[in-house]
Amino acid sequence: MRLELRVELKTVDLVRETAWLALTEKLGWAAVLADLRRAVLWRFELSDGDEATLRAALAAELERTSAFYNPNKERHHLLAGGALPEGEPLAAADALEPPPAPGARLWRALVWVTDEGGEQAALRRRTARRLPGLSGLRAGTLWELALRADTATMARGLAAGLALTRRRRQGLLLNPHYQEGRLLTLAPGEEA
Amino acid sequence: MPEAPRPRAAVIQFPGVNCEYESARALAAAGAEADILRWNEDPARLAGYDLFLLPGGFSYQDRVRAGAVAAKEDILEALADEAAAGKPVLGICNGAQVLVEAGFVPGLRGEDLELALAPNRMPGRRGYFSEWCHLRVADSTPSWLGILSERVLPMPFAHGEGRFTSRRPGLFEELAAAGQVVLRYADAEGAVAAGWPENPNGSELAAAGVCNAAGNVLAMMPHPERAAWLGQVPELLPGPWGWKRRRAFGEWPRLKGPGPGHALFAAMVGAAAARREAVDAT
Repeated sequence: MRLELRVELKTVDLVRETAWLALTEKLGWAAVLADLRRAVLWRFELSDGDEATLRAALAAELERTSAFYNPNKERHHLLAGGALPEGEPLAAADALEPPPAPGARLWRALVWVTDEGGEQAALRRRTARRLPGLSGLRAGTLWELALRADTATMARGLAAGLALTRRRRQGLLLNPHYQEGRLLTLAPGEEA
Repeated sequence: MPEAPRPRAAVIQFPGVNCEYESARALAAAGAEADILRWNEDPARLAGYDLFLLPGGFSYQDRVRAGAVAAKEDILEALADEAAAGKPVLGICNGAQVLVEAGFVPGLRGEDLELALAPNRMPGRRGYFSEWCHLRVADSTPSWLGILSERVLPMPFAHGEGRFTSRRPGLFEELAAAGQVVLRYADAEGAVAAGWPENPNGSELAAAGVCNAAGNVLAMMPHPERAAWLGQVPELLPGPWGWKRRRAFGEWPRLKGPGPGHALFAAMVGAAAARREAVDAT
């Protein structure tokens, strides 16, 4: 079973602002990228126990420690078990570049960027004492992209194109030589 | 016969870097006329310089990833043109991260991103680390560092993301065979580091500095500008430079003399002067 914790800044996110400016003004994604949001996603892998008990234990752990979020500047959402799928790796071969003309529909993509070997081993050991059955713990940056594309295939290519850094002017959000990007969800969206 | 003009150096100041002044001072001490050039100047100005230095610090506050945002700046396109013309380019620490993210090194496949300077990761140890290290200069290299007579240089480093790595299997072995792994972490005798603490970050092949195939662009994590004067060397440092430092105790004129990092800047300025002389002669 899996529980997920999404943590976002309460204030203006300057990392998001900088990424937005780099993508839209430096890399030419202004017409295709309609919105960009950033969060941290913690993924707790649990080998046994019922979800309600584990959620309660995790909620207590979040109250007890600031290891997962800082309540003074961040807000958190504990997602329902299995709310986000495992996802699939973004592939450079799928990446669309240069940004094509924007499509007619809006798509929302969730891209999770994690570092290789990003298993939070030390934190897991400490947390596991209070969270029975914890078998894995990973954290990474969750980018929520709103993309204008005609088809899901094109939207997937756009997500790969702007996330995977392949050349100086291609991609930004992750360096594939030590990071992995997974497309967790891709769904039609609505204008904000 | 009139004296040749000093090579002109541009130290490129991205928002958030913090080593530009000492880097310019070290270049000036090595014989260059050094200017600090803001990243948003007209990129065409780069053509008036003979060599370039991207200093350490935290460009764009390391937002998204160290060096990633600065690598997208227009001035990097102009810098690529200058590098292609053979002018020496040195990136130190955050400057190295910018050069790697911009695909300047190793430069085997054009502008492709072939490397990463990933977060430090050694068995049982992660994160920021600051200390003095020893660097072994490659015996045979296309870099302007190839002329150094001294092959083991002590230097300080201070970084959290300095691990040279790549998904491409065998890349570092290929680079080492070509002399592009110019600097490797070593012990005081010059034996290449086998593990922590000599290799402070887990870099493949203990790489501390990697150059492009032509040898004129070098990305290195340690800070030569923090070792450019003897007075900057710790007294307890093992090896000949520590001995020199102890011998100079209390002698201000000697302490103001060159440190181990000076040779690196002198080699770079010398390469720029030689290149300009060759260009002027044609």
